[in-house]
Amino acid sequence: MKSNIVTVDVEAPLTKITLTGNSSVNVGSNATFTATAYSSNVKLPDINITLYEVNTKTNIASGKTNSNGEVSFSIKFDNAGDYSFYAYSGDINSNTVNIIAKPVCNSEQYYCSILNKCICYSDNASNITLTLKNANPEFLLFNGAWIRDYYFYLKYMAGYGYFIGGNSCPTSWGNAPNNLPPNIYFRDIDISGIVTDANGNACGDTGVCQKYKLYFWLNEYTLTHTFYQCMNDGYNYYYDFDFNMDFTYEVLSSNYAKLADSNGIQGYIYADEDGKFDIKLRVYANLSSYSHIGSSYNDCSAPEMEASPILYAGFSEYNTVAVQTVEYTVKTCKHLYWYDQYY
Amino acid sequence: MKSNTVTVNVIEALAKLELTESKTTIDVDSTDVFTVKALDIKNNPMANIEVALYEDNNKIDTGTTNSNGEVSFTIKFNKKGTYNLYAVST
Repeated sequence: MKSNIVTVDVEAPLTKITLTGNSSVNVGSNATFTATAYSSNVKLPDINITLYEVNTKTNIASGKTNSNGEVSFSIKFDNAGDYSFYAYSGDINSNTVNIIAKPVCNSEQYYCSILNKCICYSDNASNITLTLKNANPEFLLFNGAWIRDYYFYLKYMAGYGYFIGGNSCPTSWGNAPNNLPPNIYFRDIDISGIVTDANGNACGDTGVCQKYKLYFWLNEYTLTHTFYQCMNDGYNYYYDFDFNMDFTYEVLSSNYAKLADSNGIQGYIYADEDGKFDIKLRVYANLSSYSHIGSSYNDCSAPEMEASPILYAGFSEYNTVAVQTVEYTVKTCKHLYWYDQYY
Repeated sequence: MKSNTVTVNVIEALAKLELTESKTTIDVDSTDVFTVKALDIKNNPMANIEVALYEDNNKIDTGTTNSNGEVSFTIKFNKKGTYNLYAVST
C-alpha cells in the first residue's frame, strides 16, 4: 500500500565563502585563487563570486561557482609588492588571502626578502668595521678578576653564495684583516680594515656577496658570529660600506645579567644555586646598523635570520670559564639608491 | 446433530498509510522528520507494519510502526531542490 505524497522544499542560502591561494608569486606570473561557496557545509554551484583586491580597492575578477561549488581566478602580477584579496557575493565576504609578488632577479642580482627587491652585487671591495662595546663588563668578572685572554678573530669567505666569477680572493675561509690584535680584553673592541686576499689585494668582484665569521675564543672554547656583507652598486657608483655590531652587556644583579645591544641582540647570563652560570644570547631583531658615504640611509632594518640564533655559554663548577661553541648567522641586505650620491 | 466446526481468523487489514512531515521548507544540510501512520479500516493504529520511505523511486529508509501505529524517519537533505516523498508498506 502506498501513502500520500508530501513535498519538502530544500533551500540553500549562501552562508560562507572561503578563499585560498598562493602565498607568493613571481612578477609576471599568474597566481590562482579559488573561492568556494557554502550553504552550511554544502558547497554551492552557480554562485556569482567577485574577487576584490584590498589595497587598490578594486574588483579584480568575477565568476560563477561550478558543480563543486568552486570558482578559480588566475591573476597575473605585473608589479612586486604585497597584495591582499578576498571574495564576496551578496553580503558574504570570504577570508583574506595575502600574497607577495616577488621580483625576478637576474644573474647579477639576488633577492632580498626584507625589501622584496632584487639587489645588485658589489663590484667593489668592502670596508668592514666591527665594534664590540662592553659598557658593563662586570658579568665577566669572576672571583673579582677580569676574564682575560679573550681572543677574537675575523675570518671571511669571499664570494660565498653569490660568486659569479673573476674573483681574486679565495673561496675558502681566509683571515681578515691581517692586523688584528691577538690578545685583548673583552671590552670596547674595534676592528676595522679592508678585506684583502693573501696578497693584500682588495677582495670583491662582480657578483660577490661576502660572508664573514667573527670568532671569539675563550680558553679552548669558541663563539662564532657569522654574517654576510652584500653591497649593491647597480649603477656602478662606489660606496664604502660599514658594518657595525654593538654588543652591550647590562648587569641586572650579581648573578644575573642581561645582554643587549642597540641592534637587537639580547640574552641573559645567570647563575643557579649551584653557582653554575649560563648565558643565552638571542638575536631577535635588527642587527643591521650601517652607513655609507654621504648618507645614513638605511632601508634594510630587519635582517634575515639563519641558523640557530641561540648562544650558550657558562661557567663551570670548577670556576673556570667554559663557553660552548655557538654559531648564529645574520644576513643583511643593503640597497643603495642612485640618488644617494647627492646626499 | 451438530455439524463440524469451522474456524474463521479475523485479521486486521492495513487500510491506510498516512505520511506527514514536520516542515515543508528547510535549509540544505538540515533534517526533516517524516512520520508514517498505519491504520486499519476502522482507523485504528496498526503496529508492526513494515514501511519504506521513498523519494521518487528511491528507497531512502525503512522502519516498523510502533504500538501507536507510527514510524518516523529523520532525513537530511544535502542538495537544494524540491523533493516528493511517500511511504509504502512492505
